[in-house]
Amino acid sequence: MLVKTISRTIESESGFLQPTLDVIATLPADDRSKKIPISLVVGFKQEASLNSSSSLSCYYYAIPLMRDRHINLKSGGSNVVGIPLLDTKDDRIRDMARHMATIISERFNRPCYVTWSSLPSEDPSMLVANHLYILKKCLDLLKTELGE
Amino acid sequence: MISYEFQTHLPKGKDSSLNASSENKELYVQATHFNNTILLQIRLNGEMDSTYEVSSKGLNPILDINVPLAGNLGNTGGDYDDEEEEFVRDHLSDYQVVTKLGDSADPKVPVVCVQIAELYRRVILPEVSGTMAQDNMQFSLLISMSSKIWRATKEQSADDNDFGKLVFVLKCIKDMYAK
Repeated sequence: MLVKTISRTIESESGFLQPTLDVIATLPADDRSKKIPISLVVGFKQEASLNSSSSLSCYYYAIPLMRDRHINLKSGGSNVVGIPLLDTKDDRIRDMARHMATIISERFNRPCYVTWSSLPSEDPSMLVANHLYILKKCLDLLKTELGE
Repeated sequence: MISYEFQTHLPKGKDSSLNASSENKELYVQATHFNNTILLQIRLNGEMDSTYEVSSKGLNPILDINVPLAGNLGNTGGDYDDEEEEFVRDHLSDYQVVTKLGDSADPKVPVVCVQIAELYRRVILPEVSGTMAQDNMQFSLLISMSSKIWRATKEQSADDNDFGKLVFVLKCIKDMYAK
């Protein structure tokens, strides 16, 4: 079993301030080859309603550059490169997906696919306000799951 | 968003020698359903390196007349009188495959993506959403998969049994929804 999928709901300890997140993550089960990508679907939790009305708004892919190739690292420092596979016109959502994919890919040294799923009633300024909170929560989740 | 998953192993080729270098490869399929698309992951040994977007776009939006892209005058009745011929729509030509990541010159992949989309249109979406497969159902699929599935390994001949692999992958996708 090389890969496993987990789905979590992350509440914020401080209760009402930060939104609850729904995360579906497909992770390498044990840490053998670094070629197994992490894929993450993140979105705000939808209040109780039957049919799922969340829609995929951005799909971003990032991959670490091989360090042994002697490239000069002056180019922006981070040795991760990424592209939006499915782009959105809302920069705040793309920034969120890009930032998350880049950080996860760099931190765990693996390719990473990040999907942001937005709700119809979602107001993207919530994204800007909770940008770091969302990143931190997802990273913590991956750290505990991957045990790194 | 609803997630489904399924995990199995690729069957070894019939002619693979005992010390098959191709140790049994794990095939992992996972799908996440959104209301505007379905994100499908097909991983071989946990790896996936190419992404394709399949959307069902006939001619309709361009010419806004409801003429399907292709089809043939299927003969319905046993007897051969002409008037009864009814236009049988060829859905396979309604799909458009866009390579988001990976080798767009690879001839096998569009065929695979169209077959997966047709499987969704005809079998899975009716089953999941409970409605019948209408003719002009618009939906889109985002498929991330490993291109190694279709790449012949050294000892196998070029197209060893690609069709067998395709049928196997389609069966896995179907089984994913069976549970």
